[in-house]
Amino acid sequence: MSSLQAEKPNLKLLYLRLTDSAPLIIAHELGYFARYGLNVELQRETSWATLRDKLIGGAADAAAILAPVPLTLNQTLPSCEEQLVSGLILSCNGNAITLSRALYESLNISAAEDASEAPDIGAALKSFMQTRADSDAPLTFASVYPFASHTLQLRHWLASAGIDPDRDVRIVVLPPEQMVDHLRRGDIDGYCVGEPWNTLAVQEGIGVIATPSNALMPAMPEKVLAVTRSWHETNPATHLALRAALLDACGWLSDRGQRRDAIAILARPEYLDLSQATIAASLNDELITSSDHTPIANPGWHLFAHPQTEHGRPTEQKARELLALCKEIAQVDGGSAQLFRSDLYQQTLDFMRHRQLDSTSTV
Amino acid sequence: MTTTPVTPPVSILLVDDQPERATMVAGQLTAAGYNLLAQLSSAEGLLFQVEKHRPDIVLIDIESPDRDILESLSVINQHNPTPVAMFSARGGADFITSAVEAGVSAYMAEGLSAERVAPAIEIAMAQFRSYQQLRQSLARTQQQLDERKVIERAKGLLMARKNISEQAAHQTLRTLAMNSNSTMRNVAEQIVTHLQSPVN
Repeated sequence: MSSLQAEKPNLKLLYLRLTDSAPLIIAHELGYFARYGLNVELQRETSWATLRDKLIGGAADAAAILAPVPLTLNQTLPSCEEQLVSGLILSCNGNAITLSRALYESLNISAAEDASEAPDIGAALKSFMQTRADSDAPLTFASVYPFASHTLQLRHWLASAGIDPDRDVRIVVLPPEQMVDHLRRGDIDGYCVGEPWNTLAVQEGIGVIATPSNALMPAMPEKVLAVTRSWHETNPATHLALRAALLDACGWLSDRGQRRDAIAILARPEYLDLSQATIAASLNDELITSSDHTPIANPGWHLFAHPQTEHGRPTEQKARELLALCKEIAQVDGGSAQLFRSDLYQQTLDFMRHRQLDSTSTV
Repeated sequence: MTTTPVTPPVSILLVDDQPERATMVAGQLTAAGYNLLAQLSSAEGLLFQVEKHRPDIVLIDIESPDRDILESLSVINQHNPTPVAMFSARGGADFITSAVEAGVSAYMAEGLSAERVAPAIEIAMAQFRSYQQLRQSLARTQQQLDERKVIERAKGLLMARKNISEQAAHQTLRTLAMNSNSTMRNVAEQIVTHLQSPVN
């Protein structure tokens, strides 16, 4: 192994119960962390706000976090002097918008439209909303964090159907793993969340998927590996080892042939604690929009990073695109785009290439 | 709870599902002169309570998923001016570090000075910490009780089976523990399992 002395070999990484937490779980289970001399403990969290604060507060070393979180830290933690940096986008896409079965049924979508590959549910929702009285309680949708790709995707979907996301509906924030329960209780009428929480609502017969996120915004950065700036400055080699191990795991996940094993691991009680059938859909690029529908192909539902593609590279351009979308929600600071560190990504690629050369030359 | 007209004390909404801890926090805050508006055991109705009371600060367990409701209030609803923002003043990350350790998260009304609300949050942090210590010491006491119970049980079994005195049984346990480089508790547990099994 090429010389890499991790300053801090024992690490704690945070993640949420989501299919695209897979890179961390796979790197742990398949020994990629160990290969780079790291001893990693994974810790599952429930809410993005809690995960964010633990990371900032130094209760963990790194986390798989929503891509816009580092860019909008100033808005959610005003006057916090710490920053989050990212040198690796773990995955793109991975979400969907789900409506409650009750709301979907009141949209009166024709049988022919319902059976089509991509029924225009947005238009039907718009017409339905026009029939509602002003005194009716506004429809409530949930996202997982104020500045999340989910909020952006939900707003984009509503706006393209002519629905004003600020005036016509109410948008609240809920933890991903509580979405299905809130939908079942009728607290919310729909949500945008990462998999497997859309497929689960469909399988339980309480939700209908209106659209997967990749149909709205293709290859949108979703989860990034984030560390605090001070942690990065103290532990540059550890950070490099961490990125290399995770990029290996992402590469492994990009191979569709490995997905079956990934599904079995993710399903285990210590990780997602859900049935394999629920986790399988999105990892197999299969979209089941409704419990009475047959699966349709949705290629690229999860796009994991890979050394041979650009999906994993956190460029300032990608950061600026995300920030431009976040500006619709609230005033954001454009200067944060440089927290996406393309140079660190390049360093990972160079390191992995040298390491490969070293290992082939010694064979 | 009345406020003095000159300088109204900072008003606080406390959300905590641990009733004992809530009482500790509420007691200290009130004693320090803060205006405790309401004490909720869950976030059910939190939006309504925030709109009704307009608190200067909302205090909530950092692990509570209900705090996401407050996150959404802070930014998502542009047209809804409910003034709640994440609190993180006083040296930024350091303050968050101690808040995370104590397990408190706090949201404060926009436009309020951090210096004004920080002492209240520090009181809450201190109470959260002493609650943690209280729980740990309770757990230790329970452990000691369990330990004493199993040792008494093992001694009883030894006395009955081997027909020896209480002191001899105690001595036997101690010697076994020392020889096997183990604790009295472990040895006692083994003896209980061993002497209880019908095969023997």
